[in-house]
Amino acid sequence: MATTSDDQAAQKPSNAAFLFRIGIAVIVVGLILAYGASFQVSEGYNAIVTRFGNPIRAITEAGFYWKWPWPIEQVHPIDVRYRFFNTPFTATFTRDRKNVVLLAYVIWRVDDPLLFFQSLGTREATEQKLDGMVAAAKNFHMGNYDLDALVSTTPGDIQVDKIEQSILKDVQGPAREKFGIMVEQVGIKRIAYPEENMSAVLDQMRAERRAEAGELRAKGKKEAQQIRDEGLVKAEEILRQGREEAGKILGQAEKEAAEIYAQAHQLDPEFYRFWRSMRVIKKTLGAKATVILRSDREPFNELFESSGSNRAKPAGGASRNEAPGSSTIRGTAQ
Amino acid sequence: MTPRKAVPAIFQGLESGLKMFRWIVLVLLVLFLFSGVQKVTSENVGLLLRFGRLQGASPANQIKKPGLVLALPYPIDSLLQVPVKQEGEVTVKEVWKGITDLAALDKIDPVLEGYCLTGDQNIIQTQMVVKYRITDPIRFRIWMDDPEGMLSEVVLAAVTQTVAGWGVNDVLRLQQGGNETPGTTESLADTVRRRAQQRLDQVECGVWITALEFKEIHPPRHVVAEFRDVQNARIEMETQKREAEGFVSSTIPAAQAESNRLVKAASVYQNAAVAKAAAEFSVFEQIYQEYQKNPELVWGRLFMETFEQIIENVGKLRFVAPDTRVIVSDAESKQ
Repeated sequence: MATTSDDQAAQKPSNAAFLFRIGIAVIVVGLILAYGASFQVSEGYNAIVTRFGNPIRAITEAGFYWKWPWPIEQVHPIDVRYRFFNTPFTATFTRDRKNVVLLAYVIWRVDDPLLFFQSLGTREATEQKLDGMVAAAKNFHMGNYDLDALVSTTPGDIQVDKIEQSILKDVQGPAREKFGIMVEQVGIKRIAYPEENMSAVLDQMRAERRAEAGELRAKGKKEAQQIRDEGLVKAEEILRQGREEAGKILGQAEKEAAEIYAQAHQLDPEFYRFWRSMRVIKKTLGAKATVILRSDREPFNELFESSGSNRAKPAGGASRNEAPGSSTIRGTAQ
Repeated sequence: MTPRKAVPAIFQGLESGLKMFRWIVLVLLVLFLFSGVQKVTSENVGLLLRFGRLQGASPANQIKKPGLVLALPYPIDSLLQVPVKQEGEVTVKEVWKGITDLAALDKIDPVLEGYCLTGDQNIIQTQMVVKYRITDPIRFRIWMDDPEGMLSEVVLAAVTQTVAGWGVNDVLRLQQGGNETPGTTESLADTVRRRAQQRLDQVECGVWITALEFKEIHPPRHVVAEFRDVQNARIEMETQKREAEGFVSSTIPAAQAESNRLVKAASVYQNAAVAKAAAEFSVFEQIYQEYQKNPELVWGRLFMETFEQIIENVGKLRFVAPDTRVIVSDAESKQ
């Protein structure tokens, strides 16, 4: 009795545990089966479901989907995001027979996943295909334009936008129809010259710069000289004005002095002239002068003449008549 | 009873181990259920994908603001964080090569080394830093495969095409126009930025270029010396002009000083001459007064005074009889 009750007590929880375990097992198996029979399509992706290799469904909305498990059905996710690639450098001739090397980028996306899956399927294949199409369109259109349409400083010459649009238009239609691809944008990313033209371009650059440097130096010299010359002219003008003014003042001084002298002269011209003469003689006859005097003139006549005939004659009167100083005194002033 | 008791110790240990394991599983399960609860950090916004599908009816609902998001665990939900408040930065180096590298030959292979052609068929190389903000997190994060790469591509196209329309000197000073008509200056960075933005908007990249800087811009290393020489020549030109201006600025004051000196000297002379005349006049006036009183005496006195001085000062004195011929020889006059 004790044994049975003990057994029952031991079996009851083990039943519940068994059921619990079964439940877990069912859930786990269910999840595994569900995992094989479902798939997710993420935003930015579409998917193609194939049954035994044949595409049967194209899924264009993100979300949770059922399918038959492998190997019956298979899911192929398709990236439908905007992607880009660069075309390789290709040398192209312009209308004026210039050789340029162009590189473009292409922005594209998958627009029709089923058509894309059936025609190209992979990114690499798409890039190769688009590359060929873009290169052909590029070469064709560049043949209609001169180099000036790519590279020019004249406003209005540059036609790159137009060239890009033409290429885009040429590529867009066929890519959509044949491969389910939407080409969104074509941009010319690099414009270059072939390597063998480069030394000529570099030489030209050097020549231009040298010419510019020479021009600048000559201009500098010329302008500096001009500034100097202008300065000198100005300085000369200032000096000239100064001299002119000084001259005027000097003239004025002479005039004023002369007026004063004239006043003196007016008092008694004869006496004034005599007075002036005396002053001049005093000033000019110095130690180096030789004076030759007539022995019959005052005051030394007294030394040479003993007769009194001249004595009666007043000294001043004699001199006065003969303009004194002019003939009586002769000298060489040194 | 007996068999139950006979359970070996090893099985008892296993049983308690299993119990422990259950608890661990339970804790892990709970952790797993709450693993989807995540925080959108402050510089980001969140995009919640359930089974890969973006949750929310309108773009406004689809974009989760910073904060806690109650998401279900993997693989049901996933949360994408998009840094819309951060400024992204892309450095574009494809058309650049340093000028310190050696220039062996006059050749540049465009495949190996990028450059831009200018409108006047020169070559320049540049390195740019592009800063951007994400304006549309859904377009940017979900619909673009490599938005930063795309940004770099469109900036390159924009710079290539802009530079192809500009002269090399304008490109190097990063602006054109403004010389003839001020106020029409066009900055290279602005033009490139605008063109690149147009291209981005056309594919709705969800990106706004906030700034574009030319970190380096220079001619290729082969011809850098010649370009530098132009710079030197320009500096020399300015120096020469400054020197000339310096010369002028010292010459003119000197001339002014000289001019002033002349005028002053003239004034001094004027004063002196007038004073001298006045002084002589006053001397004469006094003598004249004397003379008026006694003309003969004054006349004679003046004459004699003069004579006296001659006799005192003069070097040689000769007397000749009237009507004597006097020959003054050179030798004598030189004595």
